[in-house]
Amino acid sequence: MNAQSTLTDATLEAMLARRAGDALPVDLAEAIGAAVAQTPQARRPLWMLLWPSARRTHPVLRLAWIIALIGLLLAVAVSVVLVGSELFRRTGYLTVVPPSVVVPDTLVRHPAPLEPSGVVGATGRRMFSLASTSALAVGPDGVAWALGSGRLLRIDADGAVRDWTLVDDPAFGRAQGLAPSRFGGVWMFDSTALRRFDGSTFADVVEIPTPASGTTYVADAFEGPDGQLWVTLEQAVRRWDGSSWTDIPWTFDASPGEIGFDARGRLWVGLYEYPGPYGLGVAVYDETAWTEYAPDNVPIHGQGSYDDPNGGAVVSNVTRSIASAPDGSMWFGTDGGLVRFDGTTWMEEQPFGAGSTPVSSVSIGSDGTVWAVVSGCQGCTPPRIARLDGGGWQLLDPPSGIEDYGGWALVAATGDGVTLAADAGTYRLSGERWSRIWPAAPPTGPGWVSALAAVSADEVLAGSGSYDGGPAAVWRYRGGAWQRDTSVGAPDESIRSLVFGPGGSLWAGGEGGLQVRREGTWTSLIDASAGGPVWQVVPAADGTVWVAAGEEGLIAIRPDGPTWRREEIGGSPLKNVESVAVTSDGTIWAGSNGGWFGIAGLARFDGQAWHLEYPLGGPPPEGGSVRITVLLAASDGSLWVAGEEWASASATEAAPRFFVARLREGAWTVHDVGWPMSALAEHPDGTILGVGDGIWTFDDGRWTQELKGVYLDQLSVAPDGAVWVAGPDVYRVR
Amino acid sequence: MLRRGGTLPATSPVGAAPEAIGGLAATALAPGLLGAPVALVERAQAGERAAFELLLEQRLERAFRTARAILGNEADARDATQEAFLHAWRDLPRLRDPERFDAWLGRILVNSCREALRGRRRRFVREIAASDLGDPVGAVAARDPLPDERSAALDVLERAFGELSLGERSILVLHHLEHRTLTEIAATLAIPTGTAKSRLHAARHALEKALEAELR
Repeated sequence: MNAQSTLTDATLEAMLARRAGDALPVDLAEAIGAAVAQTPQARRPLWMLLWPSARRTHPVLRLAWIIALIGLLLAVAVSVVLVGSELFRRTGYLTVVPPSVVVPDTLVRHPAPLEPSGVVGATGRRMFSLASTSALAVGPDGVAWALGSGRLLRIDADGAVRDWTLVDDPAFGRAQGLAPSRFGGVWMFDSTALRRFDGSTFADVVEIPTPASGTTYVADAFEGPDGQLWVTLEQAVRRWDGSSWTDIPWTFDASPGEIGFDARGRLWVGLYEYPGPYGLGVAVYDETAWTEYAPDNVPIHGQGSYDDPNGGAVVSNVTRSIASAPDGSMWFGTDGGLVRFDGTTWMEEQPFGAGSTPVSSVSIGSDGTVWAVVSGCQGCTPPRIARLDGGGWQLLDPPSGIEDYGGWALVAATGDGVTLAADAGTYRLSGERWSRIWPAAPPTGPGWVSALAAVSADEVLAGSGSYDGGPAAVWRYRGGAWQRDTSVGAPDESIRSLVFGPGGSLWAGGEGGLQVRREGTWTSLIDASAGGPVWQVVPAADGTVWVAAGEEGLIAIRPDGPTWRREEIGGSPLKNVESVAVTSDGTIWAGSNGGWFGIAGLARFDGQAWHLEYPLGGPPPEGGSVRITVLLAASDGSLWVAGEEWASASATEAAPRFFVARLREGAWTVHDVGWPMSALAEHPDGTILGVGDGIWTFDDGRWTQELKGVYLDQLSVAPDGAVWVAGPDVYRVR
Repeated sequence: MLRRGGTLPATSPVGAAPEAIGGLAATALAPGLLGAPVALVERAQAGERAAFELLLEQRLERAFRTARAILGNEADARDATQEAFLHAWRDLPRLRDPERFDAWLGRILVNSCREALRGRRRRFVREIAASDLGDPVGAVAARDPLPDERSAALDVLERAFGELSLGERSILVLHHLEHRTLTEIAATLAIPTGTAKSRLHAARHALEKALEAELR
């Protein structure tokens, strides 16, 4: 075939027409409509009110506007020349200090390629949840990296975005934090290793040795000015010099948290105490000794915060962010406010006014511009952003739409602007204009995946929870997109259990009570205001739907012609019934996970009376408890139980024992799993699956663990064997 | 009127199939809403969803076909179309001149396609061309009534088209599928008319080069 002769307009148009297809997806309009219904419109900019549509503006009036604007711009320019230069001279923040340390690339490298996890796909649940970012880092090349929502984002200077998820490598699913690197890419760390990701491979992998206690929690990691790596762990600071780890002498009762380096190359750490967490000041290390700055030698007393039991000194709150300024000063964003240390004096900055202002993030650009953001808890007030440059502090208008979200926010100075990562998404400020970087559309509301009901390999339903009780919803993922159930009466409060019942009915239990959808109509069967929240819903083979209703106990919903009949099963020895299962012999099992010590958390109902059961062989130790978190009745008649044994009421006195137990033919078999199992399910092939710290499979008499370090909390298996899980995102793993 | 509901899944975990989740309920449009597009746009700008739904209904099929031609698969096209209309709804109050709504929407759609293309490399679903399947005769026949030879030629041309940049694909689709004039293309892509002309020429040239490479 000759290319030149083939490529006529007619051929090209035929190809494009064929490529475009002729079938509009049947539910696309509906999906867009549902998304639109959940999306608020942006506000009309002020300038548009002053400058009406061109088609309605008389040419003379338009000319007058242009002349007025030019005059205004000239006035501003003259003001800057006459006044601005003097302002700039008075502060040191615009002093640009060139990098004083040149880092030779002589450190030993340990590269490793990406190894795909085998997970089939991530669905991008951000469509109906938060776009929350847990870490943000900007390298010397101006590339910003953000970690959150189950993915690592790379944001180039031109706004181009790429992302990597658990699908690409398990490390992306288990990462806890980020640190910028002078060698290119970004350091991504979890409790087992630091990995420098350059955009295509792990250019350097440094494993973190496990301490004698057996567990490692890396609070922060940082690449020092000399290229060495620093990590903070529970009561330890550790340094990697390129070939080995060294522990820095640690003399504090508190643990080190956030890391920063000053212009002299000294290490600063925030101090906190676990459990709490309560901030206990900051400390600096000069290669010989630590100097501590705590409430007793830092006389700054802010307004205090909910996290400050020590009288309100700003520096005694948890330090969330440490930044070094070109003028040599150090800045600390804490739960109590924003403080600055110039080497001699501590000063409190109040760009957001007086009062409790938890500064979650502070970042300083190479030109000395300081950026700070106030953000608090989930569902609280929206983030506020302030900038300090030659003109003093300025509160910035936040990105449009961010006011609909509370939650956590981070900032990182980027070139001539700043990158802001908030629950509404990631934005970049260039000049005075915010632009949305990711995701393309804002999430439809605050929340997380709190229940899954798998339909097939191509389809899964999810229930969402929210931090402030609403709005939550039922969602369906199919054809690569999430779609909200907007049927009349659909659940709109946090959902804890979502299952299919007899006749294709869909049951949702949660903060709103119990609702069932039949033939497109939702009906409320238990009103939370009267009957309390529902924890779990389990349909039985005889058509009865069993409901674990917390303090209301166990409830049976039995079919009664076209309606349902409610029957309360009284006499439960459990204070709260939070899980339920029905084994093939008809026995009803109830579990409790609720804050009660001295009793067992498992009971069975034989149709006549309740009996406590002890999967660990006997009653819990005095003062302790056995909490049952998950129950599963398997097709072979056995009962699976996941839970925790607490020797006492306090986690600090003895760590709980996490177990999965199986009752089969009257005998219990117990397996220790080291981490809470959040959900259990049976695969059509008979294997038992669990999620918690990764995915667990029980086959041939033993448990095996995959994706360790990826924390998952929901699991559902479809009749076709497709396994769906939820954690940082919703994934199909088989 | 917007379509309601979707198809039923073939299976469900317990017995019968669950009914499709209701989406946007059929919305009755107020009498008189079917006015000039500018009036519709202005009403949508004021937050009237029914007006936006009508704009959506009138433009959805064309937008989806455009996205699908640019991206080459339904899943990405669906995402891009949805993102584009959502973006349009959110930012509609910022559209200064309602008469330019279509060009503005077209630009948003092309940008959404760009985003979709960036994400595609990491997408877990890899769409397989029908001609790659084990039973190409049945598969191709089901979707393409063209004679085999011409169908094969179009397959080659489509593969070459897939090698082009998104900008090149977009301008070819706008011109050869949507039959937009250079002036309209310039407005959609926010470039001067002369630039649109030169880019169209360059895209056509790039396609010819890619086609030659495919045929080697």
